[in-house]
Amino acid sequence: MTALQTNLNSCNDLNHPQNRIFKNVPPSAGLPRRAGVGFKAEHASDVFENADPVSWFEVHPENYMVAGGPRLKMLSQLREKFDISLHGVGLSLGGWEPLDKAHLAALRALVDRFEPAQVSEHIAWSGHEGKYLADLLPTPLTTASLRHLVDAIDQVQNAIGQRILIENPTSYLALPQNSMPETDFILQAARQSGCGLLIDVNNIFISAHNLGFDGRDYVDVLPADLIGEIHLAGHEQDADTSDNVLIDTHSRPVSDPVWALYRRLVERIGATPTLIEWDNDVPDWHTLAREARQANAILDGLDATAATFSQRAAS
Amino acid sequence: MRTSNPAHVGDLPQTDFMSGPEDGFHRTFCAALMDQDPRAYPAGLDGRAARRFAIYRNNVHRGLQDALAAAYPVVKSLVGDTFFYRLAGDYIRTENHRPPSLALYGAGFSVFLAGHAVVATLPYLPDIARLERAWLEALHAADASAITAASLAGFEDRLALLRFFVHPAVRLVASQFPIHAIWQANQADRQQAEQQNNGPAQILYRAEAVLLARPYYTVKLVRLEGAGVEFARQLLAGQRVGAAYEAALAEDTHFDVTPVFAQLLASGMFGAFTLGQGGG
Amino acid sequence: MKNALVLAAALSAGLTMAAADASAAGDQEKCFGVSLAGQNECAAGPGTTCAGTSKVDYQGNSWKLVPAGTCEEMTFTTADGRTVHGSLTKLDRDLPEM
Repeated sequence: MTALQTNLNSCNDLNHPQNRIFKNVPPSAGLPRRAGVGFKAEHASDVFENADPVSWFEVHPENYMVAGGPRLKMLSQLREKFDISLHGVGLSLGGWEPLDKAHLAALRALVDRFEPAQVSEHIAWSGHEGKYLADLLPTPLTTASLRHLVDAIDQVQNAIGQRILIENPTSYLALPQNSMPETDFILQAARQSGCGLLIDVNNIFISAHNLGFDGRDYVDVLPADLIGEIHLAGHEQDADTSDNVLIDTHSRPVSDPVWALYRRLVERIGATPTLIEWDNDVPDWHTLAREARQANAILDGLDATAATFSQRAAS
Repeated sequence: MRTSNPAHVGDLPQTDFMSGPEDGFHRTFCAALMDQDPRAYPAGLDGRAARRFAIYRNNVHRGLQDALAAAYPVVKSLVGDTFFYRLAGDYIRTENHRPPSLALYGAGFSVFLAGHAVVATLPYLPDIARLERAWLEALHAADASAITAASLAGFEDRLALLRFFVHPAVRLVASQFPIHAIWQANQADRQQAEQQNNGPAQILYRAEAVLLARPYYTVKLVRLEGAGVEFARQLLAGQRVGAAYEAALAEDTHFDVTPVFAQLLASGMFGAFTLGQGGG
Repeated sequence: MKNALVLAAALSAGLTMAAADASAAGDQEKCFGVSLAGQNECAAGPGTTCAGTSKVDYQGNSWKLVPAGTCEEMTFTTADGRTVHGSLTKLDRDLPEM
């Protein structure tokens, strides 16, 4: 048994005393089981003219936590034509402090106004004791932080009235106090809180490279019934070549090994909403659309009988 | 957690901070990210992990510096990229306000600049930062409708009796320096025009105030000077037009209200109006 | 002191002038055209989020630098009609008191 193989027997037992199952949270509407992309204002005119082959868009809710003005106006216009996903980067679910009430209220206001098909967040933290750190920092993989994370997810789901997805992190280093494999950590968090998973295949590939494990082992233990969305992005080798570390830059096309890992995952779990993330050195719309087309081609080649996330979750 | 002091590359970590409660972990990680020494890392990380900690530090610092650069493009243009990023690097250590959106990061930058040695050579820099902050706040302020000249049809003979409710996007920034001219000279389109034409514009060295409004989706700037500043200030405070005029006149007996009133009305700064009752 | 009638006329003239200024109207729908000007979100959104940058990019904090931007190129005309070119260090003597 490798370190990544998980023993979820206790997790699957709903009566197990350690598994605090929270009340049933309504599932999200769910995104189309097709390719979506992260929305960029510079693509707006292309998107509104002809978004083909992209059928949905993802935005960071934090960019719209303003009182008014052109950003919110643009999001309204986007929402009129497309399904959207709100992908949070600022709730600090993996922090050690109570969730920021104002931030949660702002998220709820956006959910009420824009009725996103999906809401998701990261397993990470981005601030501590008032200091704003503007990054996705690593959460210790311990039972104490698992308990804290589950409570945080529960608060979010109750606040917005729907199930969220949590995203697996990118790892550059292993924290020395980690006491369980990451797969155990995220699966237990999902089972105990009732949330789903957003699986970032690029993150798995990067973490596997940086920490020295096989990304296929990680992908293979992920249960189909929990996965509501997949992320794909490009990465880069760090400029410090002495270390051979990969950085999650979102600045390039999806790499071939990441496409292969993605194909391995969806061939097993079925067609799943798939987001192309490209946040730095943002290309023209045509280049981004080509990435989305490639994801759609893989999804089109799958067994058409594969169940949707919502069907799976409802069963 | 036994220490909140970050270790440094080359030191032998004395304690394993990560064996303790997680709040110690977060505090130590955070302290190492913000340490003055860019080689700092949380004690407990081994050699390779300690080196890779720099990735997080770099992300945090560059992320916040870039956010500040995006919020203060004129300050950046004035001092140059290198100087600006060093200023920003110092600023982010002092900034503890956590905005809901990165779009509104950097609220304290003008105060930071006012206390920085750079004001010895660029005394107007904090006021430019105030203007840029006001622009950002105006852009992201609540939406509301604005009245136009047409809205006042039928009140032509009672204009002096009106009070205005100010649109939520409106900001007024007053300075002893020509902030409007400096701001204008550092807009990207202006700089391009200069390269094609006659070089930098001449800036008249005088006190200027700027009123910012955003009736729809574009922030508009109105340059004010002299008694016009007082006139705008009084209207912002909810005074009747007539009273605002008297206050301006007290400052400058030659105050010409017509063009200032026209500019303010056309800017879209007024959300609504009422016929004032009583004094004021 | 001008009387109320003069003020009424001056304000009414301002109203006419404002009505002729169409700049306030007409940009209701120009959302896309203008929005980029105000986009100060980081490329990857808050947190620069999931997108990292190279770790060797970071620069230390010990520095001795002077401003080197457009502040050196601007030309100021002072109240007494003199023109001052060049750096603002030279302009110091002309600055109004803070």
